Order: sequence, then structure tokens, then C-alpha cells
Amino acid sequence: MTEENARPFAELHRQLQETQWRWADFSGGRVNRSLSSVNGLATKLQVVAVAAAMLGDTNRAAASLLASLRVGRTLEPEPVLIDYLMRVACDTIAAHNAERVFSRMQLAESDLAALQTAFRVAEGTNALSRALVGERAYGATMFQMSPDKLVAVAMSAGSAPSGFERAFGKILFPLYRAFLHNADFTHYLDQMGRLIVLARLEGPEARAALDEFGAALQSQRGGWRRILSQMLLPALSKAISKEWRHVATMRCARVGRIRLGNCV
Amino acid sequence: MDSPERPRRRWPWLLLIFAPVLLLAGFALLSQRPGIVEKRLAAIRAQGLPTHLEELDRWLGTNAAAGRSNAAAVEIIGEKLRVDKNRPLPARAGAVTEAEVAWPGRS
Repeated sequence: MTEENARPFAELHRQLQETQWRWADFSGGRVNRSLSSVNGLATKLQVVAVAAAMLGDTNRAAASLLASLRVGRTLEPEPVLIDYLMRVACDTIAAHNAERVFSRMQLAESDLAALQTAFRVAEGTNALSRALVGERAYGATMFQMSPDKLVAVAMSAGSAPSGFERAFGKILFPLYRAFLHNADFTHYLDQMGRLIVLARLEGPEARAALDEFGAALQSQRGGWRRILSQMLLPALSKAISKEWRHVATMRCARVGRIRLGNCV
Repeated sequence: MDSPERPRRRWPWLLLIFAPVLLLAGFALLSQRPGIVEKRLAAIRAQGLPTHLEELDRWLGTNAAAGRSNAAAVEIIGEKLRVDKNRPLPARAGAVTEAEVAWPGRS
């Protein structure tokens, strides 16, 4: 912490007390947003917390830990899966950060209680289910796009198709549209519906249901006809195991505080 | 004795041309099941859930303007806290170049 950055950090702590957050703008049927600063802020707060712990500054270490959890919470209302994954990354940084601070100093009881509450809040959200609903809407928009619009979206995502790919798409897309589109789109909507229900389950029942979902995806006949959904669904289903890991990490951080409290 | 000239039948050729077209159209009709997508989308909308990106803001229902202004303020703070302001922010994963991930002195 230097003279130069003390003020922005103070501003950041103040700003993170806000409760309304919206990073993305969905006007025009596209996702327009920048999340480049979010992950960077979580990392910077991690550095501040560890440095404060090394210097024995209890208040600053606790405040930075809480702020790093709040950075993740700013992404909670976002309805697209990539935002949810970014939030999980921020929460994981905060949990590792807490371990580093706890190993260097003993925080005040009130700070530990505040952290325990913050970790409990981070653990108990329905963010994944909401992200999957948003992702389904995103996918449905893509399925309904014309090839030219799809190319424009691909270009805005950074991977411009070559001339050959464009020409290939111009020939194949009408065939896909005429013969395969509806079955592919329906399959996508049905399986996303199953995933959304699965995201709300917990415990061994959820694990068994996810295994069953994966096995059903692999064993279904005629997969070649569902070109887009076969590409999207396996990756999306992995988000559910990520959520379980995230919940476990938040729970461990919370339990760690209880153990610390008992050691005092 | 010359055999009487039989009239030339053209229908096999017509069949050869139109049968595949008819078969393909039938296959398209069967595999596409017209209206099925609209039914699925209507069922999702009936639950009050979005089926298009443009419906997401309405579905979330929070104060989007206040949320965006708070996010923009955090972005400005993030920019103030950047140590190396000359280094471009990495773009999305697919578009990151070597120059964006490398830093001076890295071998």
C-alpha cells in the first residue's frame, strides 16, 4: 500500500458496500460487458490482505478479506455462465487468501464472525441455476440467429472465420436449417431444462443425477444430428461439479473460522 | 415385318428426378417436426423465464441503471489501481496474443 493507491483502495471499499450490480448489457441481443477489472481487483485485495497480515495490521487484513468476497458478490446477479465462473474464481481467491491471513495472525472475534457470515452467503446462492437459465436464453438466441449474425458474434468474440469457413457455412447452414435445426434446438432446450433442475439438487442424489445425465448424453443415438447441442452441453454440465467444489471451498473456509475460534 | 413403334414412357425419368426430392422433403418434415421449437419456447416463457438475450434485463428485474453505474465506478477504480497502465488488458481467451500475456524479461 502506497500513498498513491491508498485513496483508490478506500474508494473501492466504499463502493463495494453497494448492493445493486450489473456488469452486462443485453441490448441488441448481444452480451456487452467488460469483466477485466473484477479478477484483477480480487487479486490486488489478496496482496493487500497478505501484506497487512505480515505487517500485523489486523483491521486492514480483515477488511481486505471481506472486500475480496464482496468483489465476487458483485457478479451474483449476472445471468450468464462465464460471469458465474468468474465469481467462483473470485470466491476461491478469497478463501485461499483467508488461509494465508489466518496462518499469519489472529483476527478479532468480530472480524471472524463477519467473515464467517460472508462465506456462508457466498456458499448459499442459487447463482448457478440462474446462470444456466441465462445461458439457455443465450443459446436460444444463437440458435435463432442468421448465419451472418452468427459470424458477427464470432468475430466480436475474437475468432474471425476465414473466407473458406464463411463459404462452407453458406453452403452447409441452409442444409442444417432445413434438416437438423429443430431437432438440435429442441434437444438443447430439453437438456438445459434438465441441467437447471440438476443445479438445484444437493448431495448424493445430485451426484447420481449428474452421472446419469452424462451417461445419457453419451449413449444417445443420432448424436451427429445435434451438432450445436452436442458441442455445448458437455461443457455446460461441467459447471455443476464446479459449483459443488465452490460450495465445499466456502464451507471449508467457514469451518476453518470455527476451528480458529475454538483455538483461541 | 416391322414391329409397331411403342410409345416412349417418360415417367421413370420423372420418378428418378422427383423421388429423391420428395424423399428429402419428407425426411426434412419428419425430422424438423414444425412447431416443436415454438412449443418448447412457449413452455419456458409460461414459467416466466427468458428465451432470448433481450429478455434478460426484464427477467432479472433489478435496477439495471444503478447496477451499471456501480460497476462502472468499480471499473474506474480498477483502472486507477493498475500498476502497468501501458500493458493492454487481456481480451477474451480466444483472442489473447503472446504480447498480451508476456511481460518484459520473461524468457
